[in-house]
Amino acid sequence: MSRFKLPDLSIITGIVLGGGAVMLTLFGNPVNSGICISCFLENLAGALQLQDSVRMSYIRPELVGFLLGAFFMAKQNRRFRVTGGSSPLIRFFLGFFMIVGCGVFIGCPIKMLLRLGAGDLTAVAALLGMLFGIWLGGKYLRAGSVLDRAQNLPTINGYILPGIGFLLLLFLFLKPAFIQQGFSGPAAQHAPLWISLAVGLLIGGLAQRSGLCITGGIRNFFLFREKTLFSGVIAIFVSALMVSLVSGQFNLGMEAQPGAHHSHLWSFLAMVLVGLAAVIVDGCPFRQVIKAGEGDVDAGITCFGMVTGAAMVITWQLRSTSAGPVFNGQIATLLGLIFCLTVILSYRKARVKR
Amino acid sequence: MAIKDKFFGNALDSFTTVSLAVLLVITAVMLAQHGAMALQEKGASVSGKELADEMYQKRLEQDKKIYKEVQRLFGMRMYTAAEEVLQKVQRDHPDNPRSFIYQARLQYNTGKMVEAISSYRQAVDSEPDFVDNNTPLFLGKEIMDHLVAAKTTLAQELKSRPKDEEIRKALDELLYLQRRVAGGCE
Repeated sequence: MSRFKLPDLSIITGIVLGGGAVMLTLFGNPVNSGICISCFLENLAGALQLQDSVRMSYIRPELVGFLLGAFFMAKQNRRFRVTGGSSPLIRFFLGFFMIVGCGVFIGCPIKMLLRLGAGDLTAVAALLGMLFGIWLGGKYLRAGSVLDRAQNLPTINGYILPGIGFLLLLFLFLKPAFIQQGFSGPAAQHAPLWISLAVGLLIGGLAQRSGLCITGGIRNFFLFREKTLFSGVIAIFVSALMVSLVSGQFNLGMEAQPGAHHSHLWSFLAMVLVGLAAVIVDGCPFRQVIKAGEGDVDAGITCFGMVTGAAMVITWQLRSTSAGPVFNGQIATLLGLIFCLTVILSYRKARVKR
Repeated sequence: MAIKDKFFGNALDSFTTVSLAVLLVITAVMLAQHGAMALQEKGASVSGKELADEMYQKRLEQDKKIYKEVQRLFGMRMYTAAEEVLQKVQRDHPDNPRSFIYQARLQYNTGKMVEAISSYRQAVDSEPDFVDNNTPLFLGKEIMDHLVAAKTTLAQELKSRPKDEEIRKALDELLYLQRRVAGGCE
């Protein structure tokens, strides 16, 4: 691994992530959702009976793989650093609203790239929204709006999230009665467990080592014209496009696109929310899972917010369906944007006072 | 030596360590027993897959019985008679979503495209399994074929009546249905 330079590793991670995700759909995952953190979290919330849509209930092994892959890689390379204590409640709610944004668009930033790679032009509005959100977030960062600095914490704090990962893995194999699993709908669409887990572990390990993050890559490019992570983001798109073309999954257009809708304004706003929130918490939903695996307790808190958001997205209908965004989802998106801007402003003011 | 001190440094440490070990062993044994039982029951406690298959089978048989006459008349292209029987079935079984499918088929075959699309939407919204190819209720291919044909007809009609809101609404519904049939995460 050490022979690879970071930009190379970022590109390799991007290729494995984009290509692997499309391959997973060939093995059984839902179309255009080979990897989608928000969809996977909705499935996880259902499996734990935090929401009651059986059709959306399954402990996705990929998700567990990301967490544990990052954990093993961090331990292996002595990069397991336990830090935390930075604005926990704010991070929780930013995680919550990130998933609301994903629910309204129908997909996390990774799925957005996968949808674009598969020819789904309805995702263009979302891409523009995310770029705008990240650009805006970057402006605020430059102006000094940064959450509190994290502190070193006792090591046990860092083991809690990977511990939950192990527990979920155990549930996957033992299948206790309180774990719900759908036998129709998206829950029933999944690649074989071992393949999903292996892909998840590989991507988790690589992402930990390279630090690949969709929003982080774009943010760094906007702020410093820094291309290390950005090249990984491009690699995700290109590899997803290539594998989609080769496997015959490419379908260019706006019509008959799986898991999509035509309310472009809401797709745009939803991804502005995701981009902005991701800049404040320093990482997209995928990156939060990876950071939680490497001992970042703050990212762990964001993950809990994301799981709660995933449950509420289904239970309170804070999302879109193929017909378009549900009213509750529209309101939640606006509330999310209000929350983000309020946080940014208050931290900016606090910094100015200090 | 350091580890020994950490875990058995004094009486309280020893008590805590032993208690932890005992609790861990008990939990592991309980989980293993539960796992073994689940394996014996082929995981029946989890997914209820067999139960679901049984339920689907029952539903298919029941639907076959309920719609036997409608299907017979439909097969003979006696659409008016089939519609009359279907209306009676709908009164007797108001909760059965397959009636929307038959309604859509009849409307499609009698050239009522706008109504057919609306009926397909009612069918899919009340029974998502109609567009889920993992279930025996899947009818996605038939629905998609009808949608593709209806789209051409509706697009032509829209050219001659560009301000017709009904056709525009039907086209919107049609696109929605195409996305549903295409699948993906819900």
